[in-house]
Formats: sequence, C-alpha cells, structure tokens
Amino acid sequence: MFALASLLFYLANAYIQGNLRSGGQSAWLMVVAGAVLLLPFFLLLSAVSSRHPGKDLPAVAGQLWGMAGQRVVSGLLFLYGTLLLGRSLSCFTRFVSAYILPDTPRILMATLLFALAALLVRRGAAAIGRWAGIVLPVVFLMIGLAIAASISVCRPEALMPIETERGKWLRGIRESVVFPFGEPLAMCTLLTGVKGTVRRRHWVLPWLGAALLLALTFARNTMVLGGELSAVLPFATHHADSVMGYSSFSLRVEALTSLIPAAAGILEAAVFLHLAVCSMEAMAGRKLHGAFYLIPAGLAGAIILLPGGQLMAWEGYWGWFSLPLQAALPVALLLGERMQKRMRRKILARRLKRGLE
Amino acid sequence: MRRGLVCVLLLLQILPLSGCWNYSELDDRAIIAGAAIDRMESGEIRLTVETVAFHEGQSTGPKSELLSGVGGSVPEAIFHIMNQSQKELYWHHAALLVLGESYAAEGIGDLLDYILKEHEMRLTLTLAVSRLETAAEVLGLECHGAEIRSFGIAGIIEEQDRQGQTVRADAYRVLDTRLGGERDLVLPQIGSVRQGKKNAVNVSGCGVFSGDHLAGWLPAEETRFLRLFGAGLDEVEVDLMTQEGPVSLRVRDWTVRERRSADGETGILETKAEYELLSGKSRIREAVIAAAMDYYVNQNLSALRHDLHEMQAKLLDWEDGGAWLVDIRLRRRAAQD
Repeated sequence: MFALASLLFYLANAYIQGNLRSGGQSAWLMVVAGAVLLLPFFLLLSAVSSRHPGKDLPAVAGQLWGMAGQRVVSGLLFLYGTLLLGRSLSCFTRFVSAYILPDTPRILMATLLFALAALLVRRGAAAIGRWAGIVLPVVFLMIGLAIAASISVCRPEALMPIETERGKWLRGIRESVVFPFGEPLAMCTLLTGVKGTVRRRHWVLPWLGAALLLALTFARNTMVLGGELSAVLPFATHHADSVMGYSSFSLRVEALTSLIPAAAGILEAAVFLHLAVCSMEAMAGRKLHGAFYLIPAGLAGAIILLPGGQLMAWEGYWGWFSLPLQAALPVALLLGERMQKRMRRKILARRLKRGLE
Repeated sequence: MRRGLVCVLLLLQILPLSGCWNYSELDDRAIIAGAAIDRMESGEIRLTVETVAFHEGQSTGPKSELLSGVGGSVPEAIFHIMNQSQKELYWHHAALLVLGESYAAEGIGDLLDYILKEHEMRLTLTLAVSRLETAAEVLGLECHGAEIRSFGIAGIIEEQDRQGQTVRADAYRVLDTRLGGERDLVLPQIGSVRQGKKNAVNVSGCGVFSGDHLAGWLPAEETRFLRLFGAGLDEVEVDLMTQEGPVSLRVRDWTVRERRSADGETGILETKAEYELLSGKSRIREAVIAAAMDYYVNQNLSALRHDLHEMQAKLLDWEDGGAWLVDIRLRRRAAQD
C-alpha cells in the first residue's frame, strides 16, 4: 500500500500539469534524467526507514536528539508540508477553475478538497494507502486510454531534435524533481501506518514507475501538440486530451482524464496535510484535536489567494529550499545515529575498563 | 454526535442538486459554430459569428443565425455581439474561424495570443483565410446542403486536406508553428464557385504567411507538392510533369525526412514512397527532383521570395518503386547593384 500510495502521489498533479516549461520537446527525457539523478535521495530515505521501522522523521529525530531536536525537525517539516499543501490545492483549483468550473470560487473548491483530505488524515496513514489502492487502477485505465487514443494524431517527428544545450537540461531537470513531481520526503509521514519494514524497492520502484509514466505522457503531449506549444500551455496534458478522441466516434474525452487530478489530488493533499499535522503533534508532544487542522488550512488558503504572478515568482525559488532539505535531513539523521552508536560503544568500553580495573 | 454529523452531511449534499454555481440555461447561450473576422476600412474589426439556433417546435433540426459585432479588438467585438443578442457566447463547439485577406495581411499575432489564452476556445478550431472580398461572405456560401455551414466547411477542409489539395490548420498546429518560428505558417484558402444560381464553397490551395502576416497564395497544385514533401500523404494520386509529358502515380505511404544545415542554406530531403505508375512513361526521376525543388522553394517562401538563391538538386540514390534520396543545396546569390 505504501508503494501504491507513493506512485499515485508522484503522478497526481504532475500528470495534468503537463510538460516542463524549460523542457521543450525533450521534456520527456529530462523527467527520466531527473528521476535517475534523484535516486540517491531514495536510498537515504530507505536507509532511515529500514533502521527505524514504523517511525516518521520527527520520531527518529526525537529518539536521536531528544525533544529539542524533534521540535526543530518538526518545525521544518511543518513549514514544508504546509507550503506544499497550499501549492497542491492551488494547482488543483487553478485547473478546475480554468477548464471546468470557471465561475466557482477557488476557495470553495479548495475547501471541499481539503475536507476530503482531512477525512483521510483523520482515519490515519493506512486509510490513505487504501484510497490509493482503490483509485490507482482507474488512473492507470484513464492514462492508458488517453495514450492509446492519441496514436492516430501523434507526430513522432515533433520529438526531434533532442535538446543539446546544457543550461536547458539543468533547468529542466531541476524543474522535474520538485513539485508537482518529486518531494519524496513527504512520503515519510506515511511510515507510521506501515506494518513491517519498507524495503528499498518500495521506495525506488514507484518513483521510477511514475517517472516512466510521466515521460510517456510528456512525449505524447509533445507528439500531439508540438514541442513549442506543449512547453507553453498550462495543463498541456488536458489540451492534448482535448485534441484527440477515441477513434472518430467520441469527443470531449478530456472530461474523463480530468478525473485523475481530482482522485489523485485528494491523496496528494492528504499526504501533505498528514505531514503538517504529524509535525504539529510532534512539536506539541501529544495528539491534537481536529480543530488544529485549521492552522495548516489557513496558511494553505493564504497561498491559494495569492495573485498568480506572485505565486509563480515564489515557485521559482522552491527548489532552493526543497532539495537541500530533502538531502540534508536524512543525511543528518543517519550521521546522528552513527555518532550515537559510536558514543555508546565508547561509553560501554569505558565502563568495561573501569569494571575490570 | 456522529448521527448529527451524518445528518448535516446528508443535508449538505442536497445543495449541489439544485444546480451548479452560476449555471446558465442553454437558451441563454449563443452556441458558436464558426466565426469570421474582417478588417474594416475604419481600421476596426468586424466579427461575424454563426450560431446554432434552436426554435420551438422545429422538426428539421437546428438552423444557424449570423450575428455581427464591431470593435477595436476581438474581445470588444464579442462584447458588442453579446449586447445585441443578450446571450453569452459559447465557443466550446466552434469548428471554424475564417480570416479576411485584409485582416490577415495586417498580422494575426494578437488573434493567436487570444486563442492561446482564452480557455473557452478549443485548440481543435480550424483556421482558414478567405479569398472572397470579406470573410463574412464565406459563412453565407452554399455548402453541400449543410444547415450549419461552419461545420460543413470544416468537413470540406478535412476532406481536401486528405486529398492534398489544401493544408488543414487546426489552432494547436498553427500555434506550434508560430512559436517554433522555423517554418512558414500556411492556412487553407476558401473561395467560391458558381453552382447553378448559388455560390458554393470551394476549398483549394492555401495562404502562406511571412511571420504573422499573409504574404501570398499557393494554388492547389503547388499546395499538393508542399504537402507531398512536407508532411507526406497516403493513398493519393499525383500528377508530375516531366520533359516527356505528365506522369500519373498512385502513391502509398509517402514519407519525407528533411535535414537542414544550421544556417538553412543546405538541406537534404530523403523521401520514401511505394508507388504504382498509372500512366505516362517511367521517366519520373526528373519530375521528382523538380517537385522536391518546388517544395523547397515554397517551403521557404518568406526568405526566398526576397533573397535571390541558386538551387542545385542531385539525385543521390534511387530504387525503382522504392526510395529517392535528393540532395538540395541553396546558395544566396551576390546582391545585384
């Protein structure tokens, strides 16, 4: 269930948002390259989760560094989770507002999505995993149908030429490994609901699977819309779906694929909310009442209400916060654990020596 | 407590059953099938839309109505039409957008930006240019008995595109071409032909753009070569001229791969086709070279019509009934004093 939840989490908004702005016609390659480059992050997270089964990162920090360390880590993760919750809700509401319900207030849509996510969070991490198990087959079916129906309008020549400029590759890879695709650190919050140990393959395989699915989708978008247009259009996947139909006897098939961000978006919002709430509880040192959900809700709501231009300007800097946090936190926990073991061995050796004397 | 919460949730579910936020009845919307844009002498834009009209009690199907609005820009003209009709314009089903010659000659960049940003416009909208005096006249032409002319004309463009007589230009292809900037924009050409007492739609040839501005026209035959060497065609009959006279081929699976140098001055066209000779002698090699050169010239219209070029073509490889490899080199001639 952890693997299924991870796969759906990585796909969620990344699928409907479509091709990378910096990617051009090579966006499909950049997402695979980004996924491979980010593999060391997963190996670090896998190492932490296998050494501390059933514990999330604040609990591990508390075990290593006491309450102070737990509060510092929880504070960082609360900020991380809340900002991402706001971005996730903003992405979903922008899509629905632009193409489905243009007159409905965005804050209302966000409230409904938040309520569903809060319901899942209240039930616990296991409920989030079960939601993924129900929704994922439907998502696969929609993606498969969309790709199959696109074959007749695809132009493979639109994938050429492959981008060779290094700067564009670096920008594309950086864009591909942060929200909406990426942010594997958030998945650590679901470890509390996992029975047994989460193995390396449970981290790596969903990540690579999601990357391949996205690469296929981005390639499809490029072949249908063209390299230039797919990079410029917001929600390029939705537009590519609107261009094709299932053979010549159906139209408006984008109505089906627009179910994907709804179903997957609930899980993504639930994961970020779960992270924010668990971090708050770790900072407080106890279980909190459901009313405390309003704190991340309010902050996320403020992000949704930001004007679009301001939000996009802020999004450009997100990678500078997210990537170092995702690298530094697991490394710090592993190093902390190693140092703790060394200290314990030294103390034990000293005691033995005194005992012998 | 739990029962109370469930009751409240059940009651809340009744609310959405009353209808969506800001719901509009179908009668309050003008469903647009097609539109035409002209530039008036005053410099303003006239937007003419063909809307689908549903009348009570009609048994023969929907009819169409034409509405017109004038404004300094397309959104202003839309607003003017909405004021007249008291209905909200609904663009989701629009199939055709015809541009007047004078409007297209002044540049369609603003229009393309509007199509890109306006979420109601579907990117499958077919664009075309009118060879008549105004674009609005196209929406009044006879169209094989089709009640909604825009849908009929869009169907004719699709059919003529399959035959290679014109180039179908859906909005998403047009936008991608414009953003890429490497190829000239080409839109289907709509004119009229006399059929009995009425003027009927005639879709043949294309209008070629230099950047965003209409630069000239290609007749059907040259358009066909543009299509043959540009995008390839399947199952089509082609006439090629040779020194010995015309040669007719039935072409299956004609594909083209083009490689250009960075400066655009040299290029290789690699074409592969299965063909069946229908008539004429089998000396078609020269005809293929001539057709490839025609394509190369026409594909670079905006550059080559203003610069002087020498062109040399060489047949590199040939298989009977199979493939041609043609090397075309372009060189700028020295400017003449």
